[in-house]
Amino acid sequence: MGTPPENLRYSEDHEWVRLEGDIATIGITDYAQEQLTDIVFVELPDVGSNVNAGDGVAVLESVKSVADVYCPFNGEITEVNESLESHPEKVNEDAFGEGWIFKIKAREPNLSKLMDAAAYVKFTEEAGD
Amino acid sequence: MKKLPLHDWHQAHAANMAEFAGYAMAMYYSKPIAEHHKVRREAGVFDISHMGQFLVDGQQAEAFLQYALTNDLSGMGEGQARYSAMCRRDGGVLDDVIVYRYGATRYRMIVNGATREKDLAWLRQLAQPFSVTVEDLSADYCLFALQGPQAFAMLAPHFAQPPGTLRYYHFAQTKAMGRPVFVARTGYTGEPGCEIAVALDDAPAIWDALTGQMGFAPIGLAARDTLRLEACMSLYGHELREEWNPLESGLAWAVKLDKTEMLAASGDFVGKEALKAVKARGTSHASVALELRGRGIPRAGYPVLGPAEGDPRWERGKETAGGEPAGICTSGTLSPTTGKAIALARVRREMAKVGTALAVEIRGKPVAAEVVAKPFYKNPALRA
Repeated sequence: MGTPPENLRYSEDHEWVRLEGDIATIGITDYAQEQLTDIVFVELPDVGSNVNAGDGVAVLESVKSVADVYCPFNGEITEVNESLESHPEKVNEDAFGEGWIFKIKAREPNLSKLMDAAAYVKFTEEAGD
Repeated sequence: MKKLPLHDWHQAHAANMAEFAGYAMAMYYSKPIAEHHKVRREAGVFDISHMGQFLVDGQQAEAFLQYALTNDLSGMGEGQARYSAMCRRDGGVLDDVIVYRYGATRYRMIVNGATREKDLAWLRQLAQPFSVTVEDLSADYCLFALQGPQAFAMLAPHFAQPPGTLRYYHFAQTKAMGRPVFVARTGYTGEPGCEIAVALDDAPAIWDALTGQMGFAPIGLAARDTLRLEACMSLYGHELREEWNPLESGLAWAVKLDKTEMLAASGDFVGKEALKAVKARGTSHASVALELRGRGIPRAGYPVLGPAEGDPRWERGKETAGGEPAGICTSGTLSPTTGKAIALARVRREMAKVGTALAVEIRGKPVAAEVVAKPFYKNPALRA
């Protein structure tokens, strides 16, 4: 399993967040894609839509299951990874890179509720599998 | 959660385990889609020991099963198998089963894992007036499915009677690796193959040989589900339920309302009166195959609307003249073989015709779908 990069923050729902200025890029972790298995469909949010922290804004589907991707901050969707519509497997292959899902312009982003890499690794180990 | 006899092997080799039919079972060992393709292109082995196995034994075994099941078992030869529904008196489907005829006084029966205890109690209660016993063999045997275009060739050198010599829906008692094996040419994938029952003591050695020297890849329940769905085979609890009758659930072919042989002593078969009435007034629903025309994946439980949005007749909430929903998806996935989003759905009869434009409601939005011919996938070698 790919090690969670040090420069990202992590949610308990297994999203990763990279905050650059007020723009946050969000994806799911390698642990999450392994749990989901073969991702065959991605539903992306509309660019320009306003979202709230905790909203399910994207949907990932494997052959077996459907999973929401939650937004960690309030803000506006500025960009989505449209290539996932034709290549959803990118989320499996490169969860922390090419498999990013959407970006938002965050209002008052609060990183304190998110874990750092070490805490996230501990979190997934405790979750077990 | 209960454990299968070979639990430790699965625990050591599976990438993911989950509960099914009360057992801890392997969902996949590598990846679901890779396992799906392995079975379509080569072969794989499934441990399906969660399924129930009964022995129906006694002077009136044939008459009893004619009474308990909807299909007609008359005319079955020794060594022949037959699929059937088993219904309540009101016609609701209790289970779908396969019976294997050793002779007029002895049949094996394989039932679903989740329904095993319910079935056993039901059958024993029905059996009271008959000279017959229903024995539960489930704990004494393991059940493995060998499926795929290469399966018979891979098995042949190791079986006294190669499974590929059996005709479709026939079985034999033979030996593999010097051990007694019950082999039936049946399956749940749409591919040629067989299902074998082996005694508990012999199971580890046989499983090791299948996954070792014979070269079968172990396949989990995730691929088993996508394989059977492409082949349009029903899954109990999804396409088949106690609240639904077999005539409206895609099993009309396994209901023989005119069967009479061996029924003289007991009267009609269980559910016949109710099913006759359904047929007389006309079925209201049917089980159909759907392909999505828009983006998305249909899933079990998603509403079916109809006709599709854009069609002038379409209006949410008034999908049919009577105001009833058009139907419901009973199973759905992205077909690994065709790359299309597919579903089995229970819909109102007037919307069941192939070519009908419907919609599936996915997360509140209608997505165009079309009724297509069953099955989604067919291997001509299945019955050859």
